[in-house]
This record gives sequence, structure tokens and C-alpha cells, in this order.
Amino acid sequence: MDDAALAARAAAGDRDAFGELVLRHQSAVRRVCRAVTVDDHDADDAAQDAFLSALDRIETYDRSRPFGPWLMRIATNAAIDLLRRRNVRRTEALDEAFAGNTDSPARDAERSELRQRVQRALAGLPERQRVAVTLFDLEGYAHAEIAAVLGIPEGTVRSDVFHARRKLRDALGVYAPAKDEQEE
Amino acid sequence: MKDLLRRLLTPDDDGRAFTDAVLLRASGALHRRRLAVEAAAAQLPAWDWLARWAKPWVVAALVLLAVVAMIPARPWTDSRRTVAASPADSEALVASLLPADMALASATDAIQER
Repeated sequence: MDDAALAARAAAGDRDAFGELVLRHQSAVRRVCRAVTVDDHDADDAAQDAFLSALDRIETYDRSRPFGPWLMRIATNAAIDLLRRRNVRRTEALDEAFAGNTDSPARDAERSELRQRVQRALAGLPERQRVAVTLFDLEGYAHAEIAAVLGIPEGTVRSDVFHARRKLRDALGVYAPAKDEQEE
Repeated sequence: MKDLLRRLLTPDDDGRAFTDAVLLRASGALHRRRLAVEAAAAQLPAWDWLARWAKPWVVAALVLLAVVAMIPARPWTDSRRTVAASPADSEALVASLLPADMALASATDAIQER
């Protein structure tokens, strides 16, 4: 069953249909919320808020269009709202979120150091750039779709993605700029 | 960089616990939606099913009835035949039977008798 049919059933109160929608999109929504909040706990709170908000306004979803961008717009706004509401960036929480404990202590330390660098790199980006680069690089959205999600011009999205990538590369210092430019 | 970001931002779990948490929070809203749908279904007019499912058939049946009702009458052909078949005398007879004409004729006769 496609997303539009599930949305129609969810609008009628079908718990299974809504659950299937959540399960299908939770990964992408949580990723974007993590990129915005830079905190996995806040991100999951925001992602839950996003799904509840989506259910509240599911009648506004145009079933002739893809469900993902519509949901992502809600998720992005939910994450930004939560971030601004709390006005706190609990950067230390990201370490816990990314912490894996199945590897050796040396491996854990290496991953922890890498996570800290990514965390700092993400946290150093403006919200909009974090969302833009996450939607573009992780979720595979086109510039035009991201522009629709964020409600900004497509050129601004291109600029945001470009600057975000450059800042991330600079912060991480391990990737060749030319390679990413060609990917775009 | 994409792979690194994806690996670090993607949740470790399979999402089922997250989904259950969302469903728990959404249970009230879902319940209200179900109630609203059931209430709307219960408040439908008695012949709403007809309007929803059989409206084209009702319209078609009404049109058909109207056509059938007009065919035996055929007012255009009948009126021509009546006009053509009636002699002029009968028309005059019919016209003379009008009350106004009868009154006028009686008044004329009375005057002439005087």
C-alpha cells in the first residue's frame, strides 16, 4: 500500500496504517531532526512531535504528491521549534547517542573522537544549512524539493548545501573537496 | 562525507520502539478520528446511500420517465391533427358558446324586440 492510501486510512483513525507510515519514514525524519538538534534525545522528541503534528493536519496532505517532502517540512519545523524552545544545545548528549560499546576500547575512542568532530562540525553550521545538507546528502532530495520544504529559493538551497559541505569538510579535514563537488 | 554523516545520524534501532512511542502518543487522536468517522457514518440521511451510489441511476430513470411520458401525448402532432380535422363550423359553434357572446346575443335580441 502506498503512502497516500496509508495517509487516507490514518486520517480515518486507522492505527495500523499510521504505524506503517511512521515506521516507513521514522529513519529519515529522525536523521533530519538529529541534524537540526544535534542531540538524539531532542531529535526523537522532535520526530515524535512531527508525526503527531502530521496526523493532526493530515487532511492538508495532497495525496497526488509524494508524502516524504510534506512530512519532512513538518519534521524540520518541529525540530527547529523544539531547538528554539529549549534554546539549549546539549552537545554532550550526542556522544552518548553515537556511543557504541561493542568494539574495543581503542576503537571506541577512535569513534568517539570522530563523533565529537562531526558533532562540532554540525553544531557549527546554521540550522538551515544543517537541514539543507542533510536532506540533500543523506535523504537524496533535489534542490527544488528542499527549497519547497524549507520555503526558500532554490538558489539559496544550493548556496546552503555548498557552504555546509565546505564547512563540514574543513571541520572534518579528511575529505577531498573536489570529490564532493563532483557528486553534486 | 555522506556515508559518515549517514552512519552517525541514522538511529541504531530498527524504529519499532520509536513507532510504538508515537502510536502511544497518537492513540487519543486516532481514537477521536475513528469516533468522528463513525459518527459521520451514523448521521447520514436515510437515502444518502442513494445520493452516493445511485444518483446517476436516479437521474437516468427520471429522464427516461419524462421521455416515456411525453411520447404518448405528442402535443405537437396531436394539435396539428386537431386543428386540421376540425371544420370551421365547429370552431364557430364552439366560439358562440362562450358566455360573453351569449350575453351579447341576448342583449341584441332584446333591443331588436323593443
